Amino acid sequence: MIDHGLDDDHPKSIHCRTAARCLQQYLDSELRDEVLVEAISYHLELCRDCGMEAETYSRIKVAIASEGKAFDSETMVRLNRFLDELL
Amino acid sequence: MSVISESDGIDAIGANVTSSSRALPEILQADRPEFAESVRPEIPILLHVARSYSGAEAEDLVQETLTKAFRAWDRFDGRYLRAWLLTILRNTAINAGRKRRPVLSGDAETLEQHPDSSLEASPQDLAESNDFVASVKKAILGLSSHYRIAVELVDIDGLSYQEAADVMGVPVGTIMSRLHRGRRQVKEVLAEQGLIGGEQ
Repeated sequence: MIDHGLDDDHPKSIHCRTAARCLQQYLDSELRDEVLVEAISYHLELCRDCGMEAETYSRIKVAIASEGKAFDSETMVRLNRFLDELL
Repeated sequence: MSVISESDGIDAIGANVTSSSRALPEILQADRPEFAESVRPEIPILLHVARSYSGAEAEDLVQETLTKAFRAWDRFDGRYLRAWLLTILRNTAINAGRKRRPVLSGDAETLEQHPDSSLEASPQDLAESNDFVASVKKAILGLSSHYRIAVELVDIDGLSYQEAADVMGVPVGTIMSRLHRGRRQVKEVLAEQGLIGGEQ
């Protein structure tokens, strides 16, 4: 049986330490255990501290992602032309 | 996708220009449209990862990668194209000795890539900044290269943990650890600047 770190007093929820341990995987959509994903979602809605932690890391992820793909167009044009000429 | 170890190098996957078992004209005739159509969407990610490895030489590294991938296209098994290309890129970087000098935060090359960042900014300057995104970017540049590359591969390039692990040549658990520590350091910097609350 998989140990989901469920809280015995609140069967639908999990302990904060379990949420913290799995938070990065949860935010990256890398958790494959659907029961655990649901439990973490539930916990983040109910637990203010963990919810704020998740919100902070989500904002950080969005901010980091906003930096991406900002390549200068000339470089991309050159590389696409290189690919065409390679053929 | 066949497993390719770092030590196997490019030759192991048949991407060495001189080791192709097929004559180039034959490859050109048979695989030209498929190769271009498949590989072109991956160029932005290749370029970004290449910049993580070699900074200003990234464009050359991508060109070498495209060339080797093209030569080895007949041996590609059709699965996990991105991981296959990124493995070629990583091995090419290693073979060129570029990985021994990853782009370090503060390199002039890095500054050129992030013209809106200023590593010369004092902590006080950073604290006065009210721009969350700008502060995150500056914090990312302050990470050690191992942490920064892992974070960029996942958060910017959208790679899975497994893909990022393949690119960096480390176990998935190491990627998870680097992500966690890198993001935590960013969070700590933001907390020091008063942009977010401190630790729970």
